Amino acid sequence: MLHEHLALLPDNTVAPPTPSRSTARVWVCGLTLLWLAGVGYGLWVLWAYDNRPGVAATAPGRWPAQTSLTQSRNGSTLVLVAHPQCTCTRASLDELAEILARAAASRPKTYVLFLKPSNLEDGWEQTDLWRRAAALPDVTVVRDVDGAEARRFGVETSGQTLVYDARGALIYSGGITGSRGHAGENAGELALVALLTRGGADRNTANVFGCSLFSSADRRF
Amino acid sequence: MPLLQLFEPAGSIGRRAEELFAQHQLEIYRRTDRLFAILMVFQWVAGIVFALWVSPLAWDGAVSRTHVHVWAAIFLGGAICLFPALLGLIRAGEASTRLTIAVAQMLMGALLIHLTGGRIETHFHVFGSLAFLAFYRDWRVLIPATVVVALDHLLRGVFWPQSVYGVLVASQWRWLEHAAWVVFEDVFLFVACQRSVTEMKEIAARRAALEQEVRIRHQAEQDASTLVAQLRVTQQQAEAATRAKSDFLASMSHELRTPLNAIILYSELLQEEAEESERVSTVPDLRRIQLAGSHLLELINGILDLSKIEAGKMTVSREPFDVRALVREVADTVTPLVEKNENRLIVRCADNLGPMHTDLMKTRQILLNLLSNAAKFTRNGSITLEVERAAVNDVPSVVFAVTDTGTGMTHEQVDKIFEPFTQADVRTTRKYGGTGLGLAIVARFCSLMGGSVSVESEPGRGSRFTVRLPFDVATVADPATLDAATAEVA
Repeated sequence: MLHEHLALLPDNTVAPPTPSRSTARVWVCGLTLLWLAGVGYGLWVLWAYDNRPGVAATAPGRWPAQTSLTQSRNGSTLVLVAHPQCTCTRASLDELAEILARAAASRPKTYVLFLKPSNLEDGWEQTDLWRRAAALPDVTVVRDVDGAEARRFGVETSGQTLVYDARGALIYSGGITGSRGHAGENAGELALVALLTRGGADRNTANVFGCSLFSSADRRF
Repeated sequence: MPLLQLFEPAGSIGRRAEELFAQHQLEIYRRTDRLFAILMVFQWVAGIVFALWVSPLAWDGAVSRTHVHVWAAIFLGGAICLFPALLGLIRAGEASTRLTIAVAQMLMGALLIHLTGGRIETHFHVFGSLAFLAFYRDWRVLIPATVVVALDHLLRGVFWPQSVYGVLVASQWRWLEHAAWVVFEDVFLFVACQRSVTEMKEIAARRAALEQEVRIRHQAEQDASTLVAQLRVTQQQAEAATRAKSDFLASMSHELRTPLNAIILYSELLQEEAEESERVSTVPDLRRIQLAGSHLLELINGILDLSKIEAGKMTVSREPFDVRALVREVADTVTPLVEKNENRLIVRCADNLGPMHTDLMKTRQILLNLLSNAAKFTRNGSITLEVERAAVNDVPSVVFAVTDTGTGMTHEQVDKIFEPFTQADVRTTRKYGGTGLGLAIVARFCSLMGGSVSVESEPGRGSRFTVRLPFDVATVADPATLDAATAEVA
C-alpha cells in the first residue's frame, strides 16, 4: 500500500551541534594533529634510514696482486661485492643488469662476489640473488669465503662496485643505487655507464647502500 | 483533509529534496568511511606481510636482525592506518574523518612505495587511492590527498633528490611535475564527483515529488473509501425507502380494491335493474362507471403485483396442470375480446406437451396478458397462439408464442416495452386503453418462474411475443421464491 511506503520514508532531521559534540570535535582535531606529526616524524626517520649510505670502500688504486680474480687485459674489469641475504642488494643487481646492457659494446669483464661465512652451512649463499647474478650475460659469480676477496678490495658494504681499467687502475668505486634497496636511475649508475661507454664521467664515486659484509666482531680480525 | 491542502507548495518539495539529498550524501560518506576502515586495516596487514616476505632481515656479515622495514610496517603502518580506521568506525560521516582518511591513504602509499623499494608499480597505489577517494563523491577530499603527494615529492626533492628523481641535484620545481600528474587525475575525478552530486540531487528531487504524489494518492484513497461508505449508506437508505414504498403500495392497493369491487358489483347490479325496468337512459352512465371501475381495479391489481415483486414478497407455487387444458381455458376467455375487433384467434398446440409443474395462476396471467394485448392492438386480423416443447439451455420447457398482425412496434419501442407504465406510444393509452403494466408483469413473472420472454416486431406488420417456461419450476427457480408448501413438494 502506498501509505506503507510513505511510512517507510525516513524522517530526516539534522540535529544541531551540541556542546558534547563540539568538545569531541576539538578532541578529534587535536588527536589528528598529533597523529599527523607522529606519522610525519616516522616517515622522516624511515626516509633518513633508507638514504643513509653504508661504509664506503677503501679500494686499492691498482688491481690487487693477491686476488684470485683475473683482470681483463683488453678492457675494464668490474667487481661487485654482494651479501647473498641482503634484500637491498636486489636493487644493485637490477642496476648492474641495466649498466651491462647499456655498456654492452665495451664488454667489461664482470665478477659478482658473494660472501660466504665459513661457519655457515653450504648453500647459504645460493639465494635468489646468486641465481639472478648468474643469469646475467658475461658475469662470473664467485663464492667469497669469509669475504677474503672483499677484504683485498677494501669493500665493507654489499653493493659496492669497483671498476679497474685495462692497465689495472681504479676508475670507479661506489654504489649503483640511489638509496637503500631503491632501484631506478641514480648518480652511480650514470657515472659508471659513462665511464664504460665514453671512457670518462663527471664523477668516479657514489654512495653505496646495502648491508654490512662484516659484523663488528669480524672487523676486529 | 481538504483537497486544497494536499497540494504542497513547490518550496516544500524543494526543502524535502534538500533533506533527502543531505541524507543520501551522509549515507554515502558513512558507507565509504566504513569501506576505508576495512581497507586501512587490510593495507596495514598487507604491508607487514609484504615486509616479512621481501625484507625480513638485515645483515651484518653472518649476523642478522629484524629489518627496519618490518618494524616500519608494523608500527608506522599501524599508526598511519589504525587511527583513521577507528575514526571511520566511530565517527563515520564526519568531514574530519574523510579528510583524515584521505591523508592517511596517501601516507600509506608513501610507506608502501618505500617498502617495495620505490617500485614504479607501487606508485599506482596513489592513483588507485585517489579513485577510491572519489567514492565519497566529495571533491574536497582530493585536496589533502594531493597536497600530501606534492609535499612528499617536495620534501624528498629537497633533502634526498636521488631517492625520488634519480639525480643528486634536481630542479626545485620538479615536484610540481609529479603533482601535476596527480592533479590531472583529480580533474577527472572532480568532474565525476560533481556529476554524481548533480544526479543525487535529481534523484532527491524526484523522490520528494514522488513522496508528495504518494501522500496525495493516499489521501485520495481515504477520501474514496469515505465516499464508498457514504454511498453504501445512501444505497441502504434507498433500498429501505423502496421497500417502504412497496409495502405502502401493497397495503394501499389492498385497501382500495375492497371498495372498488363493491362499486363495480353495484354498478353491474344497477345496470341490470335499469335494463329490466327499461330505464335505458341511465344504462350508458352505469356502464361507464362499471368500465372505469374495472380499469381502475386492473390498474390496482397490476400495481399490487409489481410492488409485491419489487418488495420480494411474490412467491411461486408449484402445482401440476395440463398445458392443453390451460390453453383451451385461456382461448375461451379471450375469444370475446379477440372477436370484438373482428379478429380471428388461431390456436396450435402440440400433442406431446403433457403436464407442467409450475405456478398455474401466473402462467394463465401471462397468456391472458399477451393475448389481450394482441387483441387490443389488432383490427381485422389474426392472433395466433402456438404452444410446443423445447429445450432451453438443456432445460425441458414449454414455448408459448403469441403472434398478431397488428400495429407492430419500432426498435425504440421494443427496447422499453417491458418497463412498467410504458406503452409503445403515449397516444396508445388514449387510443387503445390499458395500464402499461401488463407486459412488465409478464416479464417479471417469467423471470420468477425461471423462464424468459422476448419480442420481435415490425411497425405495421405485427408482433410476436415468445415465452419460454420450464416444465418444472423447481429445477430452475430460486428456492427463496418458492412458497413453503411448494418447496416441500419439490
